[in-house]
Amino acid sequence: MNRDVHIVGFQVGRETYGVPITSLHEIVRVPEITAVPDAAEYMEGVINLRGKIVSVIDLRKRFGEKKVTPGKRNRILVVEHKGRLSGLIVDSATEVLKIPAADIEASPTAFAEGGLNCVTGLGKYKGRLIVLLDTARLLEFSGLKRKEETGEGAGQRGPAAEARGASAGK
Amino acid sequence: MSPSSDERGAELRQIFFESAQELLQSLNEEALKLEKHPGDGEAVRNIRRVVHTLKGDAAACGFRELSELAHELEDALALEAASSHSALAEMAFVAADTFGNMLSAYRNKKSLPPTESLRRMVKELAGSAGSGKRRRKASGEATAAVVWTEYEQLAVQNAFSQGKQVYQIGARIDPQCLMPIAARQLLLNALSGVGEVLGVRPDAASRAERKRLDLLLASDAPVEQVTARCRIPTVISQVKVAPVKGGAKPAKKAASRPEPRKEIEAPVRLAEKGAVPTPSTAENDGSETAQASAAVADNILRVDAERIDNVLNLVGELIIGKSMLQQALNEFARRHPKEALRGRFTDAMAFQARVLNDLQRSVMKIRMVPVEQLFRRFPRMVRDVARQCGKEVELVISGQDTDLDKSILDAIAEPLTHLVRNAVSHGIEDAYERKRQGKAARGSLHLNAYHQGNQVIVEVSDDGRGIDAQKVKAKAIEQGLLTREEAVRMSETEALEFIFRPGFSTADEITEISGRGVGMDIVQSVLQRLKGRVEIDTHSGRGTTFRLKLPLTLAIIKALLFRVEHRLYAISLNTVAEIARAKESDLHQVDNYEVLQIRNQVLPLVRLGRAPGAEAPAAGKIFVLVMAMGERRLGLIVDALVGEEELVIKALDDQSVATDLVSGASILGDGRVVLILNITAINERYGKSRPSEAGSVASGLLLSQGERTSMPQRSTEVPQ
Repeated sequence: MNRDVHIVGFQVGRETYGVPITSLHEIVRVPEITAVPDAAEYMEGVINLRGKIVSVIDLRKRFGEKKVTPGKRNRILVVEHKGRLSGLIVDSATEVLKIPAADIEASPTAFAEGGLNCVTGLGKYKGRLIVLLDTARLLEFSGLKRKEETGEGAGQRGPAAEARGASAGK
Repeated sequence: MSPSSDERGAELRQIFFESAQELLQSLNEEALKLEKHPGDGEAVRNIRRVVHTLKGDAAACGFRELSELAHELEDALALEAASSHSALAEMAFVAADTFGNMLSAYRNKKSLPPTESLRRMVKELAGSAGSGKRRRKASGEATAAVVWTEYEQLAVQNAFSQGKQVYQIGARIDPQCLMPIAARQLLLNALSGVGEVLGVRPDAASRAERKRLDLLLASDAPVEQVTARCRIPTVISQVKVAPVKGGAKPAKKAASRPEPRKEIEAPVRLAEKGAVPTPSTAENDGSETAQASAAVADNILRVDAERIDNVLNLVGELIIGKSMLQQALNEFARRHPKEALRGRFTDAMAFQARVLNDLQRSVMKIRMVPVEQLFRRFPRMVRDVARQCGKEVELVISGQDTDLDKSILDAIAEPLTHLVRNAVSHGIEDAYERKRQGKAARGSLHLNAYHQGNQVIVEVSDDGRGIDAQKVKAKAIEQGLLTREEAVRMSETEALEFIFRPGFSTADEITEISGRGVGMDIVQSVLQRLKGRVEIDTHSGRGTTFRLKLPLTLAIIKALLFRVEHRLYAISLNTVAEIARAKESDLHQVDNYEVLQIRNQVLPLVRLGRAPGAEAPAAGKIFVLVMAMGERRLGLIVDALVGEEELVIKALDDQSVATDLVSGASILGDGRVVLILNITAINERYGKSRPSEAGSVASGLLLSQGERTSMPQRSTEVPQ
């Protein structure tokens, strides 16, 4: 059976990533973002999505890019995870790709070992390689990371440590 | 019953559970009254009324066990001698507990709890009131025996609606018959051949005399055939069969009991209004209350709180919409200052704003409930706890009409319970101790509620020994929460704050009722969640008052908007005591805190944003928001003030952005999201971050982690 998988492709840095179209709620332009104190660095803040308050993660920071320049083509992918909406900022999101299921390879085991378990596979599309992501795991991973960071002792070794200590104490 | 009635049945049961809670509450109240004034006829009558209503409702919902137990109790209460019985109040308490347990068992579909203790008490009561009982027995042997429950009456109505005849059968068991239980079974078997047995008296389980059986039978067969069936030689000596009339009547609850005809020797009691007057006042009282409550029920709507919340949410959206319109209008006015339409727009806006205000207030009022709903559970609790501690405590309740948001009311139930328990078990001394101090032996506990400005105050005050601040300090030092030097400097009010610390207890021994340490922690955390406050007012030897200050509602707050680092934040206006303007050069550093002197008072400061670098002009103007938290004051240095606005609070419960610094978020008219700061958390954070090296100050509280690490050198060096 030769089924096509519909993938929304988006760019973060130089790479093209993809998520299944069914996992997306919508794609919106980047509105004004309200920063949240104490949040992890990649946690950009919250936005107003038609009356709902939605938290937004900057995927570029999340993926370790140092310099992030806001651009006109930037978009927020709104995904639903456990009944809650979350936003992911990407450099641009333009295309819907139809990739035959046969052209999708499982993600290399090295990825999982490296803690990159949000990669579900690699899709080949017109000679390009598209990294397929699982948004649910991506979000859970982000939450987990934050907890680890905040979990350490309640020291007063600096403003960041102080912030961690206080949020761990709640 | 037909399968379609299942759903209705569930609904009915839900209503029953709710109303039953109220019934149990009033049962407790009446019992308390009775305990205070033994022999109070009014209270006994009320108890009887409550039990009767409970019986009827339980039967209508098919809760046979509860209905029957209530029935037994009601019967015992009906005895005249019972009303003066001393143990009656105690029994009512036990009954309330037992019924409560049964109800929760029904609700959770669990097996029923034991009811022996209540049954035993009922029996004792009936036994001690023996003379009265005998007298009644003489008047009609089976008077009490042949009262069909509402459940059975319902079955009778059903049978009628199916076009069947219903017979009331009185069978006398042959005295020579050795096995009355077998006789009962034989008769039932025989009758099941001709129709359906709807009810039997006495019950299989009851130990009452079994000389006589009363049955209700639904059948298509004529009287003669039924009578013939019942004639079982050597077992049944005498049979009387009478058709029950009432098939034409509408199936109304409690309306039509089977009417006995000719041959029945004991008349069945009638609950129907206007029927033959019966000697029993209980039945008449019962139907009156039923009517009264029916009349009240017409005007009261039970609505799921969620629906009201929905409406409130929509009102919230409307308010956001209103400020959107207002902003658009302002923009319009700016662009076309000469446009004549402006006036009409403004009028329409003003009208809309007014209606919206009314709408909002009306919806809020729906959510308001008198605090009495909460207070009424305390008399019983105080009594029980006082008894357990061997103390005498009188509970005085006032201000119970004060309205409070339902969700707040629900939330403070637990803290209030802890406070009341603490007051009784720790605050109030035992009678001996009190006498020695020249106080009345009976301790007094006062629950009070009132409105004050935009807040509701709930007070729990006792006239006990008070909290010893020195003892609290000593304990705090012992537990390493405080150094001796700090303790000396610390004011009593500040020291008292320690009792809210989790695990902190001044009690020398931990009792079953309160070990302290946990309870007060709950009080504090709930109050923080509600954006309220708790104040302690204590005088050694004269008592303690806990004052819970609560917002009127959780949904909408008046907020002050300000900017920090070009970002917009809001803070609840009623925590802001004043706004001060100052120059950077006015700030002083004391002990590594920045402070500002206002009217001879030294105000500690927190910088929400970055501390200015060395190059910043020292003459720069700053705004200081003076926050009042009980006795403590704290100044927040912000960059600019924006204004005051009513904010509809939306929870910021997304785990990934959750921080205790922010208590919620709101959406402004222009669609921007503004975060509402949690002043308590800021205060705590301020207390924790104590820079000890000269030149460093608390700052940058509102920055994200990334920004903090990239902050200028001066403010990042917050040393050990």
